[in-house]
Amino acid sequence: MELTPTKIKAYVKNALLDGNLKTAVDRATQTALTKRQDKVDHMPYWEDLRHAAHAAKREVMEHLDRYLEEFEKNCQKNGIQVHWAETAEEARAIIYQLIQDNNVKSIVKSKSLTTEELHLNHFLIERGIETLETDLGEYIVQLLDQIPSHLTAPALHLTRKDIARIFQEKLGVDYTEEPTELAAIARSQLRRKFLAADMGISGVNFAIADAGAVTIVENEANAALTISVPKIHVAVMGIEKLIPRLQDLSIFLRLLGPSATGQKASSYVHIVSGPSPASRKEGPEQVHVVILDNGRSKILADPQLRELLFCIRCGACLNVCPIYQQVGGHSYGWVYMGPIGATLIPSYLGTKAGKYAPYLSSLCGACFEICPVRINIPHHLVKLRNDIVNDGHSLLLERLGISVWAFLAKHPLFYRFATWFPGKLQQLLPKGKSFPGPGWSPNQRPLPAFDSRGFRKRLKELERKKAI
Amino acid sequence: MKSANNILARIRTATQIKSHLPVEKSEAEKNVLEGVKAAMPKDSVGLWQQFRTELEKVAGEFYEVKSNSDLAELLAQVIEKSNFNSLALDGNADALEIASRAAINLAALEIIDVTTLAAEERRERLSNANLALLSAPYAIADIGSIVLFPNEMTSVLAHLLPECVMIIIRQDQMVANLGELFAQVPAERAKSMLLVTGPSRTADIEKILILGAHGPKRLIVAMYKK
Repeated sequence: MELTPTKIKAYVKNALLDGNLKTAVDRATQTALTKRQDKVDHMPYWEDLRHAAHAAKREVMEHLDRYLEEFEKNCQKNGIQVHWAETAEEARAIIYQLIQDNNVKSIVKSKSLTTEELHLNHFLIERGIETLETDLGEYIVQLLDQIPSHLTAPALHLTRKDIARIFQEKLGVDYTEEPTELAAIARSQLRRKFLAADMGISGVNFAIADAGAVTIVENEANAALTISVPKIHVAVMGIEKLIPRLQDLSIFLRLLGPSATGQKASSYVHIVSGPSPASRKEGPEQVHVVILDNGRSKILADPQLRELLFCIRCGACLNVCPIYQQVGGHSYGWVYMGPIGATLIPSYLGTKAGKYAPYLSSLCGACFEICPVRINIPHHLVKLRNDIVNDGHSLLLERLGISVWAFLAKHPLFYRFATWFPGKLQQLLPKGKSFPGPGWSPNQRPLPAFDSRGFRKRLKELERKKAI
Repeated sequence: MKSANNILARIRTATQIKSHLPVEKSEAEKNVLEGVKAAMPKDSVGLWQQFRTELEKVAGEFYEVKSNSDLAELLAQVIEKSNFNSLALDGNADALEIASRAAINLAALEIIDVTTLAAEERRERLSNANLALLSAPYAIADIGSIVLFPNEMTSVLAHLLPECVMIIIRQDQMVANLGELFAQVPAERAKSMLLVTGPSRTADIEKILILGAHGPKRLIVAMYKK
């Protein structure tokens, strides 16, 4: 199922009619938010953590070339093979070359939205390489041929009934809705695959420049098995995943757990700096890191929007966003969704393809308040809206409307008439009724009743009343 | 190489433009360190009590033991209560002694020493093992975590594949937090590290917490108190 941000309006319409989706999204987001608040309440230095994280990311972004070179050098010293990919196509080619060089037939993957961005799975499956998602949520979503609907809870939009049906259909198992049984089915199916896979592909949560290492954070142990069992481990990362020092993990891990899932700490934190020594009979013989640009350097070049690259993909902004809570992740039409997704869609895909995304927001600012790295998302959404208008991609109706209003604002007499007339027209309607809303649909709320007296008249009346 | 150079060149051009970003609080990191320090328990008893609290919050199990025979008794109890019939060991001499003691009264217990197994057989046998008796060099009190250094270990998979894992740590191996760990352990060692906090888990199905997603369902920590 190929989603595209140009169809956002249709997706949103469908999402609003889907009661099950709302229940599922509510449950997932509210749980995460409540648990997060509990952790934050016990960390009086939470705001300082956010500032420290912003400062560390800013330091890296402003000297990204130096940090990337340091990272590469240290990785290579550690025995990690480093590859650079300017585009998604190049990244896929690099990975495919490794597959061919090493006669890889089957791959297990742990959660990596970067690899979703690359459409890696389809590319490999088309070429006859078995590529299996192992994170439970991603495994389920892959069976449905969908993309994840949340940064950290991929199957958030599905109920146990949905999952029971998919498992019965695709895996041929007996129907069961019991979550522990469903998880057990996935565990046994995937355990066999882990033990037989030739290559494990993971994402990277934090790439550490001074240590020449990558950090992977997870709860299920699927990433643990992905990177520890197969002979080859490939870690895919955007250039923005860097942090300066190993000890900076103290700051970032304290922020990530509560923000992402409301946990104090995730179950597994892996710091990987190279293949396993030959003396051990376990662990990868080769570790590769693929460093990806794919439009990030362009975002870096914008002195304001470069802040978007600070994102640590926790998903907190999704959880707190009143829009996301109504429409869910698939409504955004791309691999990155929610408030951060709304900024990334036009930033990566251009203002034409991304012309709807920044408007999936009421600019309430909750995302900025909750962002562990203090990305001022509403500020960036406004700038992107400006860019969309300046590039000529705003809606015709909107441009017309603004032109009409601009004319009226420059001609006070016409303005007065325009504010007086609807109130008079309303008197022709039956008592208690008002005009239909902008959608002209009978199901939508009508406009509020107009007061034909207008602001100035009412103000005069109020002043008169006060004087009495 | 060409791609690397192109990317770096684009980055260099991009970063010549100064950021339009807010100025940050400069003492933020210092405040964090002070805040974390203020919340630290004052003595080693406090530390392991905090560890225990945090471990149990994430569904880990905690026992205090004073000797190898204590440990053997605990092991036997766990095995009997859960009806386990296979126990994996990673070559640690102490663990072998404890397991042998525990096994005296457990006729049906199969003991698997992974050091005797080739790679593929090791994976299969560990996958089928009910329980592994292992040890760890450090534990972190404020998050209830076990610290492992995979490159130094006989087997990391012994911590990941069995259904239940029992890890022995000594009281004097407890550190207060990750920052303290980084202060004690040189970067050369710390850059290849695995932090394990409780059993594996998922909430991907309707946000219902399920233990034992792909890794162990149970994590037991036996703390050796002097």
